[in-house]
Amino acid sequence: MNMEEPTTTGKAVLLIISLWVIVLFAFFSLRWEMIYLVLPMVWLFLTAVTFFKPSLEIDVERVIPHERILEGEIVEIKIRVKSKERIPSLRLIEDIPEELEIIEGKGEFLISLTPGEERELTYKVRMKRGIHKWEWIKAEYQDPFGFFFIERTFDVFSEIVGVPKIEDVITPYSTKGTKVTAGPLPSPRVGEGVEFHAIREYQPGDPFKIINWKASAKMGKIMSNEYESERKVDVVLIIDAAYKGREIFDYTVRAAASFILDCLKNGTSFGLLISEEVPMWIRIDYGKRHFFKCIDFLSLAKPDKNNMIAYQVEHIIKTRFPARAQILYFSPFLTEEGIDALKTLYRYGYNVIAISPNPYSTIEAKTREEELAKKLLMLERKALLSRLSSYGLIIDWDVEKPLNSAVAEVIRL
Amino acid sequence: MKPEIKVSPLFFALFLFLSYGTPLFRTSPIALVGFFSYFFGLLYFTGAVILVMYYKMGGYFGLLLVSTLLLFIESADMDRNRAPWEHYLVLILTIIMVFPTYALIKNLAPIIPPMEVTLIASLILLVLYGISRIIGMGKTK
Repeated sequence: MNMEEPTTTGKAVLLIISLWVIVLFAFFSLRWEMIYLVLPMVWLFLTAVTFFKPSLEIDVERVIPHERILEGEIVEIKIRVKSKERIPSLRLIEDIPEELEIIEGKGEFLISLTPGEERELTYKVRMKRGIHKWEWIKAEYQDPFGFFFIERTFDVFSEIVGVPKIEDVITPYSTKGTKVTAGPLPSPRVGEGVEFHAIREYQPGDPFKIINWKASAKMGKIMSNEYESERKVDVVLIIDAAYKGREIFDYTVRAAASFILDCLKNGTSFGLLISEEVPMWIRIDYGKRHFFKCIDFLSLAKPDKNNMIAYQVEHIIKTRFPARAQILYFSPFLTEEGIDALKTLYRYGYNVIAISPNPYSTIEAKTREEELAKKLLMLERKALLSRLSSYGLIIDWDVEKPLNSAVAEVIRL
Repeated sequence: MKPEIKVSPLFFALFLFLSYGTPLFRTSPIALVGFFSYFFGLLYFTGAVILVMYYKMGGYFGLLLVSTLLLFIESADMDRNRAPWEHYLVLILTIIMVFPTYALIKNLAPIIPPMEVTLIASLILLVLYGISRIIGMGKTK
């Protein structure tokens, strides 16, 4: 807490000057017997000094509902203030992160408190993706006449991580791959398989439950089903964090988060590469803990000016990517680097599905010229995506529509 | 600029009523600046008090005139700052205290031994200086 001494306001100084002007006039104009006319001013000062000179003894705390909140949700923030003295007019100023939109209430409160009184003040903000920090609450007190002013800054730190919105998506790739797993979630222990493989003659020692009675009746001898362990693909999600695509970067992140959830549901292992100035690589793993780790990284991701995605992808392919992994590449394809990264992935023989949020779908054309320009840009983009389709499956996502319908359109469900 | 007006017009009307028939009434339109700015309001107030002294409009009436004008200037400032009702109450009570004080001074004057005018002046100046020091202690915003 930063303590400060009460300060005299400009208003008090003005009134003092006025008082002295009147006193000097009375003295020099020989009207000294009328000096009592300054009594109203003297009484104002005496009252302010005697009863309202502040010391500001208060306790302040901030209460946030959760540390992680889904983007777009409305969050109620509470400020609890307890006074140890009588404060007729306390002004509290809250350090609301600039990027958050205030939905209800204000970041400033004017209240009066009695000794020992506790108050709860609230306001609501709409959460955005990213990390949001509240660092202080400022308290200001002015006496009723506005002659004295005291300001104190309380270091009250709170933090909320706005996690990206997630929606259910159709899996646009085959989850079968090279990784041998048993059960819906990969486990290090390989047991009996669950996927049907073939029918063969019954071998002594086979459990009765695998006997295929229909096939036995047809063949005239006892036949058994043969199972194999599940084989799952490794999924690597790559996010092009090019600064040019900053307008739709939130959508890019939402798409990635949705596909990560899909991976979790499918039981595939997944890794994440966010191509910022310094690439963020989260190694391939599986399970809920890994999912939340990836979501945390996605929450903090932001577009970057020094984007070198093609170089980063090539470097990480050589050192970290598993062979025959399924690549999900999220890019608006606005930079040459972003396009080159797709080509690099193709060159190394990976199956690539590129989810490309359309950067022009958010633009609203206001004039005929703008509309024409938008059409031209859309055509240019269509031609580019058509060229790129030889490098992988391209999902062109109009961000005004659900991601799922864009995926369904491409994989023709 | 649209001024915030809540209570101050009451005091302004009272001031107009009291000043009617005095030389101060002619200057009262200038007092309207008090609705917009504390600085200009106070400037008018200082001039008005000087006029009251110059025309020797003393006594309870003069004090009432000055008090009403100060109430108007201060309440207009409170209006602008959207002050709570409690602040207006404190202001009115404080100004009311002026009259018992004046009555006390007036009643005590014949009892206390006569003093040299310059001595009284010096004493009052000393008191005012003391108040100014107390207020001026610390920083100024």
